[in-house]
Amino acid sequence: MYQCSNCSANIKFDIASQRMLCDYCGHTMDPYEVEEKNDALESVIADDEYEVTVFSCPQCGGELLCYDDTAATFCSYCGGSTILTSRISREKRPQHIIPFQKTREQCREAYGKMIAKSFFVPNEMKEEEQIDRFRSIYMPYWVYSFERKGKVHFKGWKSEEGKKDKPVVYKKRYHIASEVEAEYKGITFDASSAFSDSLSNAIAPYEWWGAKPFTPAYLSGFYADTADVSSNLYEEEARSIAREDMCKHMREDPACQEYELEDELLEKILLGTPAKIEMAMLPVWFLSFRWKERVSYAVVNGQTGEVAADLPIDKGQFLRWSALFALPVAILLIALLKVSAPTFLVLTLALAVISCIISCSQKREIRAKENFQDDRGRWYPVTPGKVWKVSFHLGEDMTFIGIALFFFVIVFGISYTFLAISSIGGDDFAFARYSDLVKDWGWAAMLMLLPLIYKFIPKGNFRSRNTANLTWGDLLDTLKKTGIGILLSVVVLIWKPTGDIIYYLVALATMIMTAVDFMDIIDRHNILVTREIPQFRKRGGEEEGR
Amino acid sequence: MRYICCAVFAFLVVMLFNFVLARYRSRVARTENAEILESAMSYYTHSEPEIDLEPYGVVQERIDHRGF
Repeated sequence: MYQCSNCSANIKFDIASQRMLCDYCGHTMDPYEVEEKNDALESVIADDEYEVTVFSCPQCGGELLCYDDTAATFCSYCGGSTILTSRISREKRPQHIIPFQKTREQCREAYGKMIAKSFFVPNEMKEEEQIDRFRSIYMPYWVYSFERKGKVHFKGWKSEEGKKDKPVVYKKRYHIASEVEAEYKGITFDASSAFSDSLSNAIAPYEWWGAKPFTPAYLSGFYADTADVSSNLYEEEARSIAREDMCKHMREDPACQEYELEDELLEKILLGTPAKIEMAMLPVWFLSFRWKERVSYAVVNGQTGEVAADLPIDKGQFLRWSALFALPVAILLIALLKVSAPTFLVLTLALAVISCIISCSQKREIRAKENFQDDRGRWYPVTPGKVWKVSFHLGEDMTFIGIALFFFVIVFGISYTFLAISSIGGDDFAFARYSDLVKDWGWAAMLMLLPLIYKFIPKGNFRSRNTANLTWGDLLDTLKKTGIGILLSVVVLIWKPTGDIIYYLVALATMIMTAVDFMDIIDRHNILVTREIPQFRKRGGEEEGR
Repeated sequence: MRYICCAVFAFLVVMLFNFVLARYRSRVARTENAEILESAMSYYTHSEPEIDLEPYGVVQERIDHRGF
C-alpha cells in the first residue's frame, strides 16, 4: 500500500496525470519515487484438513478475498487498494508495464458507441448502471523478443523457357546470401488462463513503445492478475510472426524478385535464435454481464481504446425487430411473389434445410468451445506441459454455408428473373413454360444443398476430447423439429396432390417448425458468445458440479 | 392461406437475415500479424543479396500446352 508523503493517505495511480495522486490532499508523486509502506499481510493457516492462504488488509485488518492469481485488489470492508507484493516479488515479477492511458470516461464512450449499434443485445447491457461497472485490471502478458544478426544462406529458383521448338522450361538453382540485422521486441500474448484468447487477441495489439520498467506503484488503484500460463505456450507462434515478416522483406527485395525462394529460407532465417521472454502487465478495462446463468465480457484496451465484447441476443428484442422489418417484406412478397404452391413449398423447404445446417454448425462450434479449441490459454492449466495443435477453424462452416447459399440464390434469382419477364409480357404460354422451368430449377437449387448436408453428416472419430465433430446424437436432435417438416414437404412434393391448400398447409407447418428451431439457434448462439461463470472452473468446480 | 404463408415466410427470412447480422456483429475479430508487428518495436534490414553468377543445378521440365 502506498502512502502520500504529505498526509499519509492511500495514494493511487491517476490515469489523466500519469502520476501517483492523493485523493485527500491532491499531492502528486512520480511512480518510481514512491515507496510501499505496508504490504498486505500474508499468513498461511494450516490445520488437519486443508491449508489456505489469507491476506489481511493493511488498513483495516479485514480479510482480502482473492484468487491464487490475484496480484492487486481492493478490500471489501474499507475499499483500500492493496498490492499482494509476495505474489509479484518472486519468480513472477514482471519486467515491464504499460500504464493505463484511457480513463473510465473514454472507456465508457468507446463501449457505448459499440453497443449502440447492437440492436438485439439485452437492454440491461446498455444501461448506464451496467456500463459504470467497468473495472480496470492489469493483465499479465508474455512478451517475446527476437534478435538476428548474421549471414543467411538460402536457395532460389529461376525459370527460363527453352527455344520455341522445345516445349521445355529450365529451372536453375542459385545460391543466395545476405547479411541480416533484425530485432523484434514486444510481441505479446496474454499469460492468464482466465482471460480468453479470443478477447485478448481482439483488443491487441498494445503499442510497445509505451512500455515502462515495472514498478508495483502503477498497480495501486487497480486490480491485477498474475501469470498462470507457461511462457513456452505461445513461443512458436511469436517466432513465426517474426520469421514471416523477415521472409516477406527478403522476398520483396528487388534482387530476389525473379527468383522463387525455397521454403528453407523460412526455417533458416531465425534458426537457432532463442526468444527472449519477459513478462509485462498490460492495461484492460473489464466489464462482466451476468445473464441467464452465463456471463458475457466486454473488454477495452486500456492503452489504445480498442473494444471487444460478447454480444448475446435477447429473444424479445430479436422478435420485435424481426416483426417490424417483416411487415414491409410481407407486403412486398404478397404483391410481387407470383409463384405456384409447389414452388412456395420448395422455398420453405430450403429455409428448413438452412436452419438445420446452421444448427449442426453451431453444435460443432459449441463442442469446439467446450474443448477450448479456440482458447489455448485454457489448455495449459488443464494438461500442464502438453500443447495441443489447433485443428479446427470456427469460421470454416459459415464460409462453406455462405458459398452454397450464394449459388442457391443465384440459381433461384435467374429462374425468377425469367418468370418476371414472362409475366410482364402477359404471354400465358411463356408463363406456363417458365413456371415449369422454375419448378425444375427449384429442385436443381435444392440439389445444390446436398454437398452441404453431406458435410454435416457425422463421420468417424468424434468421441475423443480434442475434436469438434458432430455426433449422430447432435444430428438427430436437430432433425427432431425441422426434420419432420423437411420429410413432410418432400412427401407432398413427390405425391403431387391436386389443389393448393395441402401445399400451403404443409409449408405453414414446416415454417412453424423452422421458427421453433430458430429459437434454439438463438439459444445456441448465446451459448457460443457467452461463457460459463468462471468461479465454477477456478478450482475444478466443473468436475464436482456434475 | 397464401397471404398467411407469405407473411410467415417474410418473418422467417427477416429472422434469418437478422441472425446473420447479429452473428457478424458479435464476431470477435482476430488481430492480423501485420498489426501486431506494427505495434511491436521491430527493426529489419538486410544487405543486398549476393547471388552466384552460375547456377549450381538445372532441372528441365516439359511445358504442357494442352491446357486451356
